[in-house]
Amino acid sequence: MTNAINWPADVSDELGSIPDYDGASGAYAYHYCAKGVDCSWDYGGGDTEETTLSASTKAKLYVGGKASVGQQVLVCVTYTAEEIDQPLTGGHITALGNDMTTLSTALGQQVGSDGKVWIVLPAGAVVPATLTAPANHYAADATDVVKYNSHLEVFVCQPYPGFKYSGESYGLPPPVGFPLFRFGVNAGHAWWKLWTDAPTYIVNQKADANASQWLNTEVGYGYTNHLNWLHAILHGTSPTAPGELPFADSDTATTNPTYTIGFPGLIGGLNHTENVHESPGTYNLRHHNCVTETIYTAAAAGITLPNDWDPEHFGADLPPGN
Amino acid sequence: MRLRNIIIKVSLIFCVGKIFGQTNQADRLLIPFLDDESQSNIIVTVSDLDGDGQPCPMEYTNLISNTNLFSVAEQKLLTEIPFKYKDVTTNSGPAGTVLISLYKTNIVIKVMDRTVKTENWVADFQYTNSEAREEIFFDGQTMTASRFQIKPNNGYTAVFFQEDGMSALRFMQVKQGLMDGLLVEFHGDHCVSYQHEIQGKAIGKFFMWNPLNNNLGLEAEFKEPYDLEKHRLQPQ
Repeated sequence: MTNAINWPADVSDELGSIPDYDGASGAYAYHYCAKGVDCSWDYGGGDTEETTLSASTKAKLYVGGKASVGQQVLVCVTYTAEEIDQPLTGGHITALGNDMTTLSTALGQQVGSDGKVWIVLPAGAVVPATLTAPANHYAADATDVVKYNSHLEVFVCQPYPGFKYSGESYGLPPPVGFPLFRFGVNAGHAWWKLWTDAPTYIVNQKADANASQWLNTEVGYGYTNHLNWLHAILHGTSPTAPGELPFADSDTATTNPTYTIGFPGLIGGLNHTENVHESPGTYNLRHHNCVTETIYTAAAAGITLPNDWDPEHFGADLPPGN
Repeated sequence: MRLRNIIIKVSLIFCVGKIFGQTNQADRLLIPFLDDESQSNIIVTVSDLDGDGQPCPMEYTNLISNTNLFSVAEQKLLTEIPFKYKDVTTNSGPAGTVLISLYKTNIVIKVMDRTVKTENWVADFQYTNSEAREEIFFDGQTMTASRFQIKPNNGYTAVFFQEDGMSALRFMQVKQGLMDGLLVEFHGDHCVSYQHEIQGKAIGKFFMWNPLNNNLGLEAEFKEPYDLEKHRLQPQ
């Protein structure tokens, strides 16, 4: 937050300098507004003084982060706003005690009942964050500014991580199905987890109904019937079965990079996951499988992943996490 | 007399059914990673590699102590091998050997659309009391492989690695440069793949167990030497 004030020079000594507005309590006004405030003091004996106050500080919010990445991040600013009576003689201005917080607007929104304003902003942005209260003389503060990061974690279980098996260098024949199939793990698996630092109730406000159930949960796509995996992989076929999400598995990831995503990406990923849960469609070994849905979820979250169909290649081609 | 006729007729029906079963490819169990046409002399009893496998009968319990699978000599060999190599380093070979050379090499393998490059240190050790040699590969990770040669192209290859958090071993015996003898893989105490070779061809019992639950995924028998690598299907 930055401050600027148009403070009449001839009274600045008397009233003290902004941000100090209440010498008694030591409180600070990071934002001070006086519109048409006319202060009069009568010292007796015809000795009077009149001062008009005009001030309007401006606040800016620096979001931080790299603008080039193009991510939209969730920011929460907590405001307070209090109406001010006319300054007392001797220089101090005094708060009236009228809490204006929830009557105010900031960042283009009504301040919430908890004093918070939630907003999604581009990384690296600098935006006006001045609070506007329905009063002519008030002080305000942004007591807390928090940026919430969101993430997509991708998990891949590869049958032979790195296209390697024990003994390939030493003349031992490769195992059955190498490198796409391994007995016990089949062709491997790919799945994902979406998570955020933001409170779930904010996610619920933005996401589709029930979509937040997939927050902080490892989830993947699979099939309900038995599939003849090995035969299909060895003969180039692509069997189908009814799809399902979540898909129960016990695979151990051989690689699991984490990607930072924007808040809209988080919502997009959660909504996509919920949509697939509700309408899982048909699983197709080469064209609509666990890797495909991991790619689709990442795309909904704003992340482009390699267009592979099998976990072995997919795991090998995944970009590193950030 | 009538009863005897009935028995003969029933027997004939079973025989005909069995013949039909053997000749009908759709009804026969096959090894899925070999081309179907080549499997006429392979008896497949269990073939469930894309499932969880089937409960393994006691007689084929996949432990080194199972004498239905391993001869006493094979048990001794497989038991001793991990101890033989457990303290081996690039300059210190198995007991009774001296280092005769150490060099670095790259091994490049083409796998589908990928090229896999492995950097190895290779240490050659000579036994002081025989002509036997050890050629030991170190890939800088968890894998060590030893080619033990009693004389050129006779011996074995043992590969030590980690699998699912366990010490694992792949082991292949070699005669005259060809696989000949045991070809097995162990994860921890359990065998996950078992076959025998003769002059580079598979022969006899062939088992695969699910590493996750020790179920039997494949039980087959090569009734005559079978060129497994020639008939192996490649993933696509």
